[in-house]
Amino acid sequence: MAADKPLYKWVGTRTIRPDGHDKVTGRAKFGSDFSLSGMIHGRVLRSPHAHAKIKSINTSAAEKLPGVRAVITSKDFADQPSELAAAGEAMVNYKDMVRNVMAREKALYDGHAVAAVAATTVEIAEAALELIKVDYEVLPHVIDVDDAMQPGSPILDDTMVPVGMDAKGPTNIAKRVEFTLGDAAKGFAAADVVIERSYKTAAVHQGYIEPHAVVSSVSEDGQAQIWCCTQGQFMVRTFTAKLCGMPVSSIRVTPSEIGGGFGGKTVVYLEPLATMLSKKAGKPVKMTMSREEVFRASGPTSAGSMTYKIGAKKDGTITAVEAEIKLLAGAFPGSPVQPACMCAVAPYDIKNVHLVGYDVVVNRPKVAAYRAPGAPISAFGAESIIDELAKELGMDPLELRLKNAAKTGTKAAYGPTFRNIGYVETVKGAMAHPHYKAPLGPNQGRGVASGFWFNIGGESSATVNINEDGTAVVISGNPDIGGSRASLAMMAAEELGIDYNKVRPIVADTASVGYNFLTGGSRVTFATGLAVVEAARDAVRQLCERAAKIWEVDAEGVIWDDGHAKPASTNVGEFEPLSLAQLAAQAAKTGGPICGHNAQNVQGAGPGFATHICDVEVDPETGHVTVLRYTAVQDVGRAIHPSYVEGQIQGGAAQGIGWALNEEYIYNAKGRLDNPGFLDYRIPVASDLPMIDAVMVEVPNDRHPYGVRGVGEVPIVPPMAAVANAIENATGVRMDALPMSPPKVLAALDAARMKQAAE
Amino acid sequence: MLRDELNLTGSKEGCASGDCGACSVTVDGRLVCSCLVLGAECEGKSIETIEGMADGEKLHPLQQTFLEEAALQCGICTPGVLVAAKSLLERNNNPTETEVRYWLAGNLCRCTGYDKIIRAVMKTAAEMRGGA
Repeated sequence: MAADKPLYKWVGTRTIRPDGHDKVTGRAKFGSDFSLSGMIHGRVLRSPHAHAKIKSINTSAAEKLPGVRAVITSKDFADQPSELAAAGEAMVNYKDMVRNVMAREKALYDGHAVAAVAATTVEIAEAALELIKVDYEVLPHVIDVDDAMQPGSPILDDTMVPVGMDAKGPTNIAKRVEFTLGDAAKGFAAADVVIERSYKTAAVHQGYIEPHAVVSSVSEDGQAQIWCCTQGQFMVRTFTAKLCGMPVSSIRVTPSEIGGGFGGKTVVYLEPLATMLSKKAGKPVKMTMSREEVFRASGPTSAGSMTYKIGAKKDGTITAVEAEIKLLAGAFPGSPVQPACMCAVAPYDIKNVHLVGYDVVVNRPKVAAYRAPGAPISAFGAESIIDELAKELGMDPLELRLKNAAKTGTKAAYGPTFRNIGYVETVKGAMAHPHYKAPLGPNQGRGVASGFWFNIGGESSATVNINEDGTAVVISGNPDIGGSRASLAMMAAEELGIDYNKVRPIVADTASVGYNFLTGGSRVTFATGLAVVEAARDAVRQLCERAAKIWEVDAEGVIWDDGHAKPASTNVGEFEPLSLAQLAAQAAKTGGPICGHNAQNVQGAGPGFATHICDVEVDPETGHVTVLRYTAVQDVGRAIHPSYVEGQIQGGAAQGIGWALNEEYIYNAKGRLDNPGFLDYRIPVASDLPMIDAVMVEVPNDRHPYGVRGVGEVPIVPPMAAVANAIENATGVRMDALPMSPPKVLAALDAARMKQAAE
Repeated sequence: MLRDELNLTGSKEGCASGDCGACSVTVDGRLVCSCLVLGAECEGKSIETIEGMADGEKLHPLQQTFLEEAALQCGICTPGVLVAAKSLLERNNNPTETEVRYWLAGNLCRCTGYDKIIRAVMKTAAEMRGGA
């Protein structure tokens, strides 16, 4: 925790969030809460086939249905050349994006959009969908990543040329990536123990409770206004402009409150469709996905298949790691295999590392970012095999991690040399926690695992306007998902030296603030926070200049202290300090409005590390796993608002527990998703979980004025291995595939019992 | 009906199948998922939604404690959780952690991991008992 004496007045306190009242009273407007007069309703026709050639689409009957105002298909969208654009931590290709929002030559997954209708009511729109005749030629499909890489597999795109490797003929492998540090063969030769294992993880959905929703209104002069729930209003503007062939300046996007995203709202699905329908119909068009559509057609994360090999000396020094990590991308290239490789063994100082990753297309929805994209998948393998290594060496698993821990100056296999990092502190924090030594009962076990996420910065803009009554408005451009407005306002209050409640933070539309990269990569409190701090300092500089003008002294002779302009020294003169409110009241006379501004491409994100401890009890009769106790230790840099930092840690851990124990996309033999609802796709409910003890370690990021590190993503990285390691300790059975649901755990227990009986 | 006809958008639609609890309301004091109830079924009945939970500008103790304890992140599940929690405390003013967890098992929250929600409900219960 922070030092004994408070360094700051607001930073590090637990203020009431500025958007809180509206959210506890139901007043806050989320995506589907928005309506316009004269608005009509859009619905999407989706492919029932996992893989099919679209021979023709006949929309004439639908167009004739009374109440139908517009029907669109891929013909309404110009084809796009292959061109990459950033979306969160991943890159997207416009050629693929235009095909993902509306299938062109082929439908590539169950749920792929093939047409859309706008009508005066939802019911008419749905009736019209049934009148659209699509002539499909059903093709063989492939769902599993390993199957998709086999020779003879159905091929999704026979024109695809893989990046980073040579291919003989058509392939589903879109890309091969490789990271090399040292010489793995030499490292294995120097090892006393070498272990090799394979692991698999299932595709899981971000599971935000709010389905995607949009209202788009295109006027007669071609100007569009879009209201939607998104992690990035600027991203929606860019992508919609591109796909609809409109200038960026003609689209104004206002983000609603957002009901969860976790990476899943870093791309567009409905926005270009609603805009095109509105353009055709001449009316505002509202579209909302059903829960089933969210599961079938919005991005889950990748499923993964990987092989790890690890070598170590008897004293626990890890001498080499080799891994092959294959991630499915869904129907179009772009799995997070790169970050998966980057993060795989980043917590450790290993001299010889060789990682190869494959990005593989299959007949599933195109994946989208999900909290630390890729890292939880590779960490499940890495942190499981490290646990096996600890067993083999007879070492405490945290001692083994500590012995090999990355520190300041460690060169990571993915390139950088770490500056000030707090991984060691998280391991020591876990070792010192009473949880680590608490007694366990029968059928109970304890597991530990660590995790890493590099965090990002990016383009950020902010304005701090000083109002005439001494209050301030902070204007930023990142949708606030988990309390970032509070942290931005706190940092601004700290800089301005005024009460937090006098600072009103606003998330602006795309026409009202400079460009901001989307909310993702754990960047907002860090990067947009930095822009807010600099904008507040710009305002303070102007306030000091106004005081200098009033006192008739040089601006350099004025300092800002505790919300007041003061003479820097007695040499400047004897002046009564002027408060921000006093200066604001005189602004018109001293030079006009006082507006601080900052825009920059923020660098210097501080990496995040975490170490988790998990206790489970395994029911030997049913295979059901209960998480009894959970502790998550994380280096948070500095917690601006500790409650919401804890919340990120607790929420990330809970999502990881769901990924570990229950969540998976289940496809039937026809390649259709069998569980597109919260009943059968089971995310953790309150009665599934214990309290989650979030322990914050603070190793400030030296490249941020308040030491901020991104905190939102790393907590989802360790849980899957922590749970698997705990199950192994409870039962002696190693689970190497997710989810570790009751039938799978029971099957593994039965197999072990059979084997034991046979011996 | 609530959202589209009466424009009471405080109750949220997360699934329309009764699985997520974001649309929780009470009908004559009984906690239900409003997505599974037809308007016609409520003829002559009293419906309480999140919009009626605060007394004018004075928040219900649960609402106040949720703010103080940071028991919400994105806030989409919050109206449903608050309606369900209020319904629990009306029946049981001293619930155990397990009772709170099982009562709220029908209200999905993807952001918080439930920790701060459970703590806020139990703290409110203690405060309401103390203040009664």
